[in-house]
Amino acid sequence: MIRIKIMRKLFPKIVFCFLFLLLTGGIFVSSGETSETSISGLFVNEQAYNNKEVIVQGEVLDVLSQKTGRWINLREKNAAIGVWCGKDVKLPEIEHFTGFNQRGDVIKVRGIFHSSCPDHWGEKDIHALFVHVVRKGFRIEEEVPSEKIKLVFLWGCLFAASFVFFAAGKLREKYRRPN
Amino acid sequence: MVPAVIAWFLKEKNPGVDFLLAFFIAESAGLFLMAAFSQRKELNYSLTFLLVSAVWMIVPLFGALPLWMSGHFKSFLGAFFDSMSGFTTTGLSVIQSLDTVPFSLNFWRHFMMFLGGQGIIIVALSFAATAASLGLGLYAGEAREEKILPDIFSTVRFIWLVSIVCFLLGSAALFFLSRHSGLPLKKAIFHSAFLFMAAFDTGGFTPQAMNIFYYHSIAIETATVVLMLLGSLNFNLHYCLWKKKRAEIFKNIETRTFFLSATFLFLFLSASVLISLRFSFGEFFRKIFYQLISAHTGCGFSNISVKELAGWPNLALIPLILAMALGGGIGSTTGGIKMMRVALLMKAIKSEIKSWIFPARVKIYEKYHHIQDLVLKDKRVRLVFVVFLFYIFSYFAGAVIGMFYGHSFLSSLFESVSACANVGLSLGITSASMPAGLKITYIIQMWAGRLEFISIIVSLGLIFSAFKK
Repeated sequence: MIRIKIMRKLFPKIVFCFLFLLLTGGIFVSSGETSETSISGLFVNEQAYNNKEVIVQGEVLDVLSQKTGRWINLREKNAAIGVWCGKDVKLPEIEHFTGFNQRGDVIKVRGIFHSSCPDHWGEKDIHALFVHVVRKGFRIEEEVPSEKIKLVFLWGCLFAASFVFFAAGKLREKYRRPN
Repeated sequence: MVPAVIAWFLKEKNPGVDFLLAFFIAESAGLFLMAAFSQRKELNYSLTFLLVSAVWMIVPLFGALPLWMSGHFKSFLGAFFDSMSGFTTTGLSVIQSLDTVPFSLNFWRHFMMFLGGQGIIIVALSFAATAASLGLGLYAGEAREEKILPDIFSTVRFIWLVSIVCFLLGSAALFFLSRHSGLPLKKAIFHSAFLFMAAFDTGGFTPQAMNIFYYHSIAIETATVVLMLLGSLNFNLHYCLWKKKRAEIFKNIETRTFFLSATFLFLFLSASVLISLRFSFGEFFRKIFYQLISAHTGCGFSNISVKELAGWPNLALIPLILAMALGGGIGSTTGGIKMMRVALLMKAIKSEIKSWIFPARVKIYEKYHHIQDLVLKDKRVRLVFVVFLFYIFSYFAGAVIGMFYGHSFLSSLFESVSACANVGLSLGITSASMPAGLKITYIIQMWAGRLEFISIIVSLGLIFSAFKK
């Protein structure tokens, strides 16, 4: 009798635990389909990510607008990839692109990775589903160190002096008369 | 000074100052040397070879100054590596953070290739009004065996004319295609000029780390293939095209050998790639054909990443190594053994085999067509064979040194051939963190490969004989 009582008490708890695990397990499984990774991670495990939904983050190098969509060139430290955004994908405003004295906007892209894209002649690319800006880029103010300016001035003077000296020698040689 | 003007125009302050400083240092050194060695003396043929070898080492040293001052290199050796790579139209690079390089510095990187492609001495000769007696020795010392026109100065000016006309047409075409692929105006202007200089002079530097796949454009890739092929043509054939003698292209032994070799290597590469990688038709043609033409013409552009190329099966690397080792046309901007030498060696082998078969009284001679019908002579074969042996020795010596640094034989050989044949394709060994010993090895290989060994061997001989006395 005592055993039955204990079982009756435990049964709903066991069922609850079972349902909880089932649900959370399902969430884990579905979250496994959209993996957040790095660009270099995509290249290293390209077969694992091929044709799967991925999330990557990187700095924008450029946005190339073409007839059927736009290419976003995205880079991280040692790798870069093209992100294809069809006309149907809404792009946020990207203001800064990585370049000289400029850090590009950091964006996060959710999309399908192709190790060999059938639409783009076998390129490795990501077809974006959703793009959003994580961090705005900025311009780096350029300053010329004063030592460098002094060095230029010094070398400039040296160059001018040696040029005058050399040119004077050449002129003397040219106009030197015999005897 | 040209990059300094560009930097000033684009408001790139630091690079502008760097270029000005480098200009002052180089000019002051030049004036000092002119004052120190002011005596006028006729140089003999072998001394001109020594001069050429020295110039090709000293000019990249000065060319490295603005690169080093930019802060994009770990050391001066790295900057010198890139400068040598630029002048010798190799295209290997150890630059860091290429995507943040200013336009003026990128212009300098590509302009070095343009100057080096023409030949530093040729650039100097085109400004010279005298020194006619030195002309031929200097011209030959820069690995140019053939004159196009009767005198050297007309030949030099013709080379410039072809290059400038091609520059205008090629850059205009690339500008149009860059705009079509969505590149912003400023980038399209600069990148079209950069890509032209790198493709036509078979250099291989690119303004972005993503290389050619930055543009996501088949049209740009096709245009660069055309430019690479034009760049790998002998300037004599450019002259024939200029004079509307198109038939020469089809009759010439070099173009025929190039066609045969490219076809054979394309089939070899296709078979070896398809064994282990699954490519769609478009991808197959795009990736395999582009890599092969880039290797064979000695350009070094790539429309796939270094990691992807390194992931190709080992068997596929062999045809690429062969293509790089063989190179393009003699008297062009490509490196490597060159098609003319390959063809003449084949003819010599054929002739030798015939001499075994036929009775001794039968006189065997081989004919070939290069601008005119010629007969293969033993003296020519000897010279060709010596240069061929030097290349083979250098390729393998570089590979052995690469193996000392822990790389596999095949990837070491790939990188060594790429450096010595002035190609620029890489499997990843060439990087900013590459050991100094390997940098020095590849610098020497690029230098020796560009001058086709003869100038350097003559120079070494002169130095040794001077010490003996």
